[in-house]
Amino acid sequence: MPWKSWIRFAAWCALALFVIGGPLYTQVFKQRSRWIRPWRMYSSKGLEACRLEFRRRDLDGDETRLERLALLGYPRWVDAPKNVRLVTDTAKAERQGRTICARLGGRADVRMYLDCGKKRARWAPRAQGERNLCQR
Amino acid sequence: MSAVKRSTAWLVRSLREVLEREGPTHACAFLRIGLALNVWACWSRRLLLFEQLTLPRAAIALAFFVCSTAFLLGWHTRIAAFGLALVASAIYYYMGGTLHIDAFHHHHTYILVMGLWFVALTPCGRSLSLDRWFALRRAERTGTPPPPEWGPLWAMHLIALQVTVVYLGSAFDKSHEGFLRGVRHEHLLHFLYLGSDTLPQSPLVTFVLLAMGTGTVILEYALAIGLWVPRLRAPLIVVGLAFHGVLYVLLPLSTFSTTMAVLYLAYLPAETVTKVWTRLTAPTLAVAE
Repeated sequence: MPWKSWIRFAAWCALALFVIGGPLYTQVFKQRSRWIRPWRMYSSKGLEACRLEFRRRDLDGDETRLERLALLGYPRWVDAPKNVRLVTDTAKAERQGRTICARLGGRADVRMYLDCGKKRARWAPRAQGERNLCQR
Repeated sequence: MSAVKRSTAWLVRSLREVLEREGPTHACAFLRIGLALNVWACWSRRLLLFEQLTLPRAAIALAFFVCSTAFLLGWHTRIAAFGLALVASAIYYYMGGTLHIDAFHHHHTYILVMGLWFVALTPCGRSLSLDRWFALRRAERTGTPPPPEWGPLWAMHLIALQVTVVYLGSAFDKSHEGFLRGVRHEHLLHFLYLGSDTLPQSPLVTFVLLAMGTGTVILEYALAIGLWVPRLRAPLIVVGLAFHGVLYVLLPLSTFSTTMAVLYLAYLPAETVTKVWTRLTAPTLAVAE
């Protein structure tokens, strides 16, 4: 084989090895490398999002879901600014809860159910209605 | 002959075919143009000189604009292609990796770097380029036949291999219960669109999320393998382009979808691309005559 063909063969094999071997090294064998990027895409985008629900508990212990955005002053979901629509931490959720308590007259029993995004496609529970937000 | 010897002989024969493969160069040219436009869409705003005031960064930015322009136009294409691949590597590893400028250190920039290196190994300047124009003029002046739009295509397989590995790696990373149930899609739905109000707890919602999660993984595995099968290639290219198109519209993915769409050219037989291009341009030439 002429020397050009040998160079082409060596280059092709080296590059193919890099293309295949890189993700094998980082993803299958879970090693870290500055030079090779694992094809792990979009694994952390959106993890800040939390799911939030406020429920009003009556004297019998039955709970009814509250319309959070309507009680915060946004009758239509699209009218609420993103920083109100999307809650990303417990403190923010509790602030919204206290606002809702004030709108309901302060004597209601409002419970917060909150879980937030976690890696590997999970939700991490932060509040499961343990306490009445309207009680100081 | 034993099975091992037969397999080795088949492997050597296949590798030889790949390495000695030659063909028309229009597909390489379209790859060149597509990647140049992607590179501009991804980086040009962030590399404007008023954003890069220190010497190494300004030098990289200037080199980027010079090389990418020459690369797009196909002027001294081989030098421009390798120059741009080097600059792209500097952007990813130095500006992104060492200086930790987040915008330069994502998977959509990494795939651009890999694509540029592989396209630099193809004869991407022999068609649809200034180099081709000058070669035609030289041939007319000297009365010699123009150089053929033909060249070695061994690097095209590397591009296709890279796309396959992207799909395999991505699908492998997503192959766990949480993703397959659609929880990642739920994260993104809440973060980008719905806000924090919980979705209704219904079998339909559960099914839709499950379909999205499982469907994504199945499609990625199918694309990784099926794009190599001639009978499955055309329908899978359509499905793959639709998949990337939907992701481009729904998610902030930057240039990843468009880069993958361009790299699909590496799966198509070069002769087919040239045949389509000739057919599309022939009526125009006939009218001009």
